[in-house]
Amino acid sequence: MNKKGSKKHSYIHEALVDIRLSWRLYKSNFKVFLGAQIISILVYTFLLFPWELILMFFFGIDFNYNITLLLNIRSLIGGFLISIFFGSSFGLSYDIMSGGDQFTELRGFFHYFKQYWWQYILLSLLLVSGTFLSSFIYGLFFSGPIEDALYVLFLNITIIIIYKVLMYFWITIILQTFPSLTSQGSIKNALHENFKLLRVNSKRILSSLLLFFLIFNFSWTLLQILDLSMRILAVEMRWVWYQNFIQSYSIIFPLIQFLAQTIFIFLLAIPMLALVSTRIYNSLKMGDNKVEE
Amino acid sequence: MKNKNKLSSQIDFDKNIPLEKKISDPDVVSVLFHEKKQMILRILIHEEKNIMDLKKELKMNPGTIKRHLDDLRGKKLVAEPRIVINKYGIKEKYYHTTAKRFIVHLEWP
Repeated sequence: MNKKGSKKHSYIHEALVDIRLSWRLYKSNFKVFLGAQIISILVYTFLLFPWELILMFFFGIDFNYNITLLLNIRSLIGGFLISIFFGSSFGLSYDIMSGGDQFTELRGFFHYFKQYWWQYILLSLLLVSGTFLSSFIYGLFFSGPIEDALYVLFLNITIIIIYKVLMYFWITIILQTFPSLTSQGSIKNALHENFKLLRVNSKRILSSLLLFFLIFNFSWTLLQILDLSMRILAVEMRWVWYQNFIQSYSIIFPLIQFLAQTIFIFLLAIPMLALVSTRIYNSLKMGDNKVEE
Repeated sequence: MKNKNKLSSQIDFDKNIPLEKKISDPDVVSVLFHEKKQMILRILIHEEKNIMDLKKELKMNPGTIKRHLDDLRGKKLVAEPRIVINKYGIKEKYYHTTAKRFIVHLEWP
């Protein structure tokens, strides 16, 4: 095999090692991640789920206060808390991979929460700012009335794919700042180190995170596209049985989707992302780009 | 390869650790008679191990093992861990006892 081919093989191999190793460490520290993510899920569900709207819609309860304002305030507080919890997962991963004992404890979650709370908020804002661009694209496509259902389906799928690809690149650019923050202790140094690592090892970081996204994000996207396609095709092709099926479960479906997505993201994707990112950071820091089994 | 590395580390371990250590401090003696700590010492006296190895052998929570190890280090029964960065870039701490044998020497009153 020539040198270029061998290097390509090495990136694929590295990406596989990242996922395998992170999965092993995730399993051995499952209880801690479970505890930490249950706290996140409870906060997320309590603060970001529109309870009032559900109660109003299904039980006809009338609230005297301004629900929109309350939801906005709750969303803001919830968003900040979730950002800190997200960052603290990277702190836990850092403990596991760089602490020396390959394990962490739940109190570490609160320790990182207290120590880096405002840095995590800033970094998370930077991380999600990339999604604003895709919302803008969505707005451009859907600025006028569209009659053709199949055209809507085509547009939706295209936008979802563009959104996911942009999200992947944006997250890849920023992500190494999180493990670097725990290591460097300063947001300025972490950002500087992140871009330095990215400049020198862009292919390594891109390939490892691409594998992560294929497994943990794009798989979910395929389900989203399938669901959307079925709904639109059911209208277009007059699949009455499918429309009846969807309508009869109109309450349960969104709830199941919300629960499944929440559990998948919080319990699996976030801890794995933190572990994979920390593993990439550590291997790049030790200059070990050729891991051998 | 892994076995070869393990063997060489075991030879170093055998060579560098004093054969015996006398203990006369009653506080340290009491630690020696703690059941769980004794179980940890019995393993580490023969071979250096990391916490995950000890977890597998003792079926104990790693946090509990860590706290016992900290106590044992405080009483100078377990040495400062040897730190290794493995081929996956993960830092590993290997713990071992400060002697191959502990002799309790107590005089009272």
